[in-house]
Amino acid sequence: MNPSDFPFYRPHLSRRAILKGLGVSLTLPWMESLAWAMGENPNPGVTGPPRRWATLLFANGVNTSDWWVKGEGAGMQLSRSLKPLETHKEDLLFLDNLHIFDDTVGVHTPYFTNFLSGEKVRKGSIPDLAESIDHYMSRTIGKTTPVPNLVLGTEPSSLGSGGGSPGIYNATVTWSSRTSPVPPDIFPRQTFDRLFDVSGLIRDRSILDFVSGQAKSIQPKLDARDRDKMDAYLTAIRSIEQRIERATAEDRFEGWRPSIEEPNMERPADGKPQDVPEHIKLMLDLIVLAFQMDKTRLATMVFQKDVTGMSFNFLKGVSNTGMHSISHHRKSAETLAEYQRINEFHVQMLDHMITRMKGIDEGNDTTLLDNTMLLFGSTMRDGDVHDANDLPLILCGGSACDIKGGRALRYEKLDDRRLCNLHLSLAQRMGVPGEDGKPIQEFGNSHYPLPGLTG
Amino acid sequence: MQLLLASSSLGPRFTAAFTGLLLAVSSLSLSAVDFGTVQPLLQKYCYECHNAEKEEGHLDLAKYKTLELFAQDHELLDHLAWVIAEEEMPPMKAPQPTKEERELILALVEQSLAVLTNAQPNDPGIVVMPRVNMNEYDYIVQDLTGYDLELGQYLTPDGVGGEGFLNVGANQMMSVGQFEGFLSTAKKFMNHARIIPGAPIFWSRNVMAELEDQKQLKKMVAAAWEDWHTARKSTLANQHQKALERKFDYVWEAYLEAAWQYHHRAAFGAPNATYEQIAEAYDIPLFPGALELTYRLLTRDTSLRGVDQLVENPYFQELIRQWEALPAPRGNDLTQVREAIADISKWRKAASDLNDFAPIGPDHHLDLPVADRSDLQALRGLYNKGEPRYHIDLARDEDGRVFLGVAPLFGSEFMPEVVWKNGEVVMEDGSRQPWQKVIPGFVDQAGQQRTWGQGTDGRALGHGEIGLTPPGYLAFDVPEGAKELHVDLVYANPDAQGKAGVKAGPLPEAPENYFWEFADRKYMGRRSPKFSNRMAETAEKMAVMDTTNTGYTRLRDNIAFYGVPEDLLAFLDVKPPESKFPERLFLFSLNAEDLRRKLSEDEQAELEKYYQQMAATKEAAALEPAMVDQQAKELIGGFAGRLWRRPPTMDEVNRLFALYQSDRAEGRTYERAVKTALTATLVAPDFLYRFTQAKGDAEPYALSDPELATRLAFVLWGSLPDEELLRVAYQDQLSNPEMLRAQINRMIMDPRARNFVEEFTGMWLGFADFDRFSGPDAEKYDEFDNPLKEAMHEEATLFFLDLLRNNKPVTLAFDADYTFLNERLADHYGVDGVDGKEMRLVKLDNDQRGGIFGMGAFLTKTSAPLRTSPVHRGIWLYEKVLGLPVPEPPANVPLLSDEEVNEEGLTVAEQLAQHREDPACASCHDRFDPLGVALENFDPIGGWRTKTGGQPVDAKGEFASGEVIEGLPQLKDYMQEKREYFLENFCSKLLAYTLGRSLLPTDKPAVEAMMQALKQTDYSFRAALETAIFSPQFRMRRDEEIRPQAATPANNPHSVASLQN
Repeated sequence: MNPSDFPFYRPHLSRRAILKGLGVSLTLPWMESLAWAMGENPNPGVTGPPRRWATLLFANGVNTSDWWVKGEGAGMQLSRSLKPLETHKEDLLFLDNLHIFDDTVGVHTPYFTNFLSGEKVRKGSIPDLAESIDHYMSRTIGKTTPVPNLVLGTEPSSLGSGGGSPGIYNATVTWSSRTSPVPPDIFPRQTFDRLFDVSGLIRDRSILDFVSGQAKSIQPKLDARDRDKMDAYLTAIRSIEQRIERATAEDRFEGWRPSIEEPNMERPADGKPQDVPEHIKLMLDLIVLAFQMDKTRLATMVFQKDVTGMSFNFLKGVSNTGMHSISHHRKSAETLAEYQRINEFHVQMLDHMITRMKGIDEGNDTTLLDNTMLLFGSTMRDGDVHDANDLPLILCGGSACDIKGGRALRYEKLDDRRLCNLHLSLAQRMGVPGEDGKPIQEFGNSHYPLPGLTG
Repeated sequence: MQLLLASSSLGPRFTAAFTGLLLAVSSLSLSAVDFGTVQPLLQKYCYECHNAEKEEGHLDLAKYKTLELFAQDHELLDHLAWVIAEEEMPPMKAPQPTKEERELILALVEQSLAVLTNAQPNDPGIVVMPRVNMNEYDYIVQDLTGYDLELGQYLTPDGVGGEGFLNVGANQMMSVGQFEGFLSTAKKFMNHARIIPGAPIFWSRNVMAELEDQKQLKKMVAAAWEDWHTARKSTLANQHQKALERKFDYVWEAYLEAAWQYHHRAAFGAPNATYEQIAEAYDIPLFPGALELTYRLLTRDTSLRGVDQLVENPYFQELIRQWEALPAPRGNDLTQVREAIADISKWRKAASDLNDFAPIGPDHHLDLPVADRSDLQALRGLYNKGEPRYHIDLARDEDGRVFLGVAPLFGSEFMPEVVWKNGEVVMEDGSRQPWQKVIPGFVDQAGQQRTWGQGTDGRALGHGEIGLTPPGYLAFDVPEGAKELHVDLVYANPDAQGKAGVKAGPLPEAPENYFWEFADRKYMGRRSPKFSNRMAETAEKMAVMDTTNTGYTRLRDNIAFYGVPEDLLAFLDVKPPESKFPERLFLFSLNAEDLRRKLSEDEQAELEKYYQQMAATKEAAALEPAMVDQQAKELIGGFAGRLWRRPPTMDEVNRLFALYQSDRAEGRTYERAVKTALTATLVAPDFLYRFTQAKGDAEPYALSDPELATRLAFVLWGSLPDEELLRVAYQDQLSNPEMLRAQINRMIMDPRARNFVEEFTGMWLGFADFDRFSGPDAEKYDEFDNPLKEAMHEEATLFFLDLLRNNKPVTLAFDADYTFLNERLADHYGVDGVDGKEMRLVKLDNDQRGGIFGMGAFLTKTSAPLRTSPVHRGIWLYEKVLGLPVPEPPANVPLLSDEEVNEEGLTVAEQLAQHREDPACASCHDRFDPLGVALENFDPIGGWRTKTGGQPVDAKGEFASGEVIEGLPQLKDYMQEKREYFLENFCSKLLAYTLGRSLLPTDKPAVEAMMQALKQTDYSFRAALETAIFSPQFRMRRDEEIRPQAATPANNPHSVASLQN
């Protein structure tokens, strides 16, 4: 079937009708996965590797003339920027024509921080958006693992004055509530310690007891807003306490066990690595290792902040000009070439991660990649014109999560192309419960689970 | 927008917030709108979703049944104004109101806002409790320790919020990662503390090793004392050396000469001259102790311990021989002796080059003893400790050829073959390739082709290995895209290890220049060294010396303890030094006296601290265990009190003390146990958050005096209130206006007021952190280095600090005829007559600079990497300085070229003019481009220029109206005309910063009061600040109504289900 002829165009159908109409592709796998993601084994005797979801985003879009894919399966042709993925074709599902909103052309702010929530960005000088899907999952299925989720980056929020919105809007896509964006962790050592350093944690336990006692005694003195803020503090502490409990609980695994029990990488150096590729790779390696050891099943990483000044002059032929400026190539052949090199670099980072995940055998004839849905892409297509109408997205791996790779899905005829449909679709595969405790049926502005992923 | 500027009765700051609103209602009369007229519209278009049941977007509009109810929430009204005016609501699919209906709704919103302003003028608003931010953390640490330990960098920043400041509580989060950051940073902070029972905490700039057990403390404090001396000694020796080099062109030789003078003191007619007198007689005074030592060594004074060994050393014997051969004095003419000393100097340098070698092996550097290292920069052989591989930089090579050189070490008995193996080429994209895959083969020094797996004699080696017998080299072409070579180097025969020595390393082009011959052998090192015969003899002797004997300088000495009381030394188990001279003798060694003579006051104070540590350790040893615990308790309680800005309760102290006790019970040291408790105080909410006790009252109420003290301290110092401020506050005196004013004045004069300038002015105008700015292209503007950017940052900081402290008018920001400079910055600006590193106020004698428009920090910050950016400079002046609104640019904006001139040969100014021909762009750009163009005489790093791209600078900014402003003087005039905007912007920003929130409509009276204060005081910065601090907003607070249940993750009101659109 030609992917561009996808029979999705179903105007004015209710969600229920859509679900019905799509028939077999939507016999959702959540029923069993939900149960074990929740830490229960619904079918005693049947256990397997858990499912994971990682989202990797780079900023400022792509050089569109070097970002395309033709054909399917092994015969799939990849454009120059995507070439590093040549050996992984069967594991790639290209998703075209999706976006956060219908009206997606404009300045940067409305199309970055809401990638995982789908909420419209409102004007204002203090944070106001909505909880993102990764965080929603972290407080449901994330309870199973020592660390509910990872939120990683390489650049801190901007300290310079923001353009009318909080600086952190450029730095994160994860929100823990309507008013709380989650600043990404940028220090590899801190992330490493969180994942693997149990003894340090236990030593801190008495300090945590003390400070949470303090916080609880302050709580009654506060008004509602301040109390919310103290809640965030207490939540952070509780999350560390839970980590201690889970990390020390030996009987967490039934049947399936991670392929290694001790981290196979060294504890990273203190501080922020100066070298961009090293920094990014280190963060990706941490995600892989965390997944491999089942320390967490959820990870979100932004390679750099939106409107970034990150320099890629370590790449051949790329000047010292910041990445955002390069993305405004105004069709200059020279700048487009630099833009392409930067895109390709990000794809190489993806290749690095995929290659590592493919090499990790998880039993049941699956690799870590098969058990991971790796969503990769950018929050714009052509960064020059801020075109966010058709995001460049690749869903990698996940063959054991009912994702069929080796294809390119073009959703231009789908009546609702908003990302929340994709998030819903993946969340269902992760076995996430909705607010009512039943399998999740909607998220953000979702309309229906994005069809076609199963093949 | 022009309409806004013209019609605004509120002033630009306030109109900016309601742009959409005013534009939309401009056609409608502002006469009262009846709520009853509008409510049906809301019902028709909004209530379907925004009702109590659905509460879409967390909003129930239907509950606002009267105008009074409606006009309660400024944020809601603001939001409504926005979505209605921008037609974001109702959603596209829903029925849409007509234009008139929209205007009616907007009129109601406007009216409600007016109700708000009038009902609660100077409403304190909701100020969410601030959390310590990364900058404040640094300021506090500096306050506590006296050092800027730069720990804030380890905290995860939240970014700016509110009006662009970092102190906005509503914008500060606490993710798990952030909490972990605070915890690990608190531990890092504690690594700088030495805690001895019975003594205050000793802070150190350096990280201090953790005590394993209490007995170690003695050793540690003694080591700290000694380390301090060692570090000071090397710094002092360095400075001394540099000073001598600058003055005399030689250093060490000065001591040979002075020793010679001392020797012949009688001949000079001063038979009783002392070392001091001779040493001090030099323009750059020598160290008397070092002179004495030098003289006694050169005269083989064996009464000095160690001299007997030293005189056995062949190298030293040769030195003495040469010194003794110096000619006798001839009157006061030193020419001859100086020439002779210069010869000694040459010999000595060559000899020390011979010493500068290293055998290969995991503990040694791969390095080359070259005099001029710059020619080796391109191909640096870097050896990373702990990683047994050599890292060779390939990327910077220009001709694409690398030579791997190998030569015997001086003194090596034979020349063993070496093998390079396990090579891995790291490519620019980060991938790695085995070197045999990308390097086809080598050519050796004899021009022979060498292939993989080959030893020197064609002997077979392993795959990917290549051998060579020194001396010689292997040349290869750097593969395309290669960045580094990581490779191991071993002896072909492992038995050679420890017996032979080679040195190896990458050589740049013309490798033959790096080999020299001596006694029939080829060595590798500096270019063509000249050997005298004497040199050859000495070298011969050295060649047979055991290499370990050459390392005189490596051993530590204990002169640091010279003068320390003997009972203290006995306690510390330190052997008292026999003399003031070091145990390991070497020429030009400073001794304890030399060192202490040169200490500054600060250094003396610091040295005193180290002495106190030793003394306290001795005293602590005599403390009863019960006393030790008591001391811990007091220390912990005191620290908590300081951080928490209040006395901790007994219960709190006991709980903190319990942390200490439990560590002690587990056998940890006193220091560790105290640190555990201190760490807890540092991550406790009482420190991290500045909350005020809520009254559960929506009516404004006054802050308590201690709360006010904390608020004030964080505004003016970015740090904790000090003892005096707290004392006044706890006596309930601070809210007394006289006292408050006095405290403000005192605090402004305190050094910590710099933090206010950095946090307020720096964030507002964008020069905060400029000392770390790296915008300009590093190659094109290589003079933009740290000293220059630090000076620029200082210039802006000192300018505003001076305005504040010396009660100068803020309007000087526009028209000052002075600025703050040091030599470096003055040179950069082309101002004469400023010497030295010290920044100082400098009167300017022309109109090229003066005021903020000519300051390097701003001019640089608003430039692109390779060129100026008149647009950004214009926007900075228009938006940041004047506070006028600049709408967001449309998408698909054509950008300017990276360079000064674009491909079509147009300058930036010409490109801008072209851009403004597009009417869509012109309407905005006409407001600010001409302002930026008028600054074109300043280059991208703030230097003055008259030409750009070979053309004379065109600094003529032309408005569509035909008005022209050319150059800085006319720009100043233009800005003067707009001064009111600047003043109001200044007041608005200042108020927003002091309050830690965005401004509200109800803040209008406070801003007006500040404007009034400015005008009554000849624009005194301080008056405006005082007025802000005296405003009801600052001194009061109001609670948000207490919701029945607080949000927790388990019960999250912002849940997924409620987010449906």
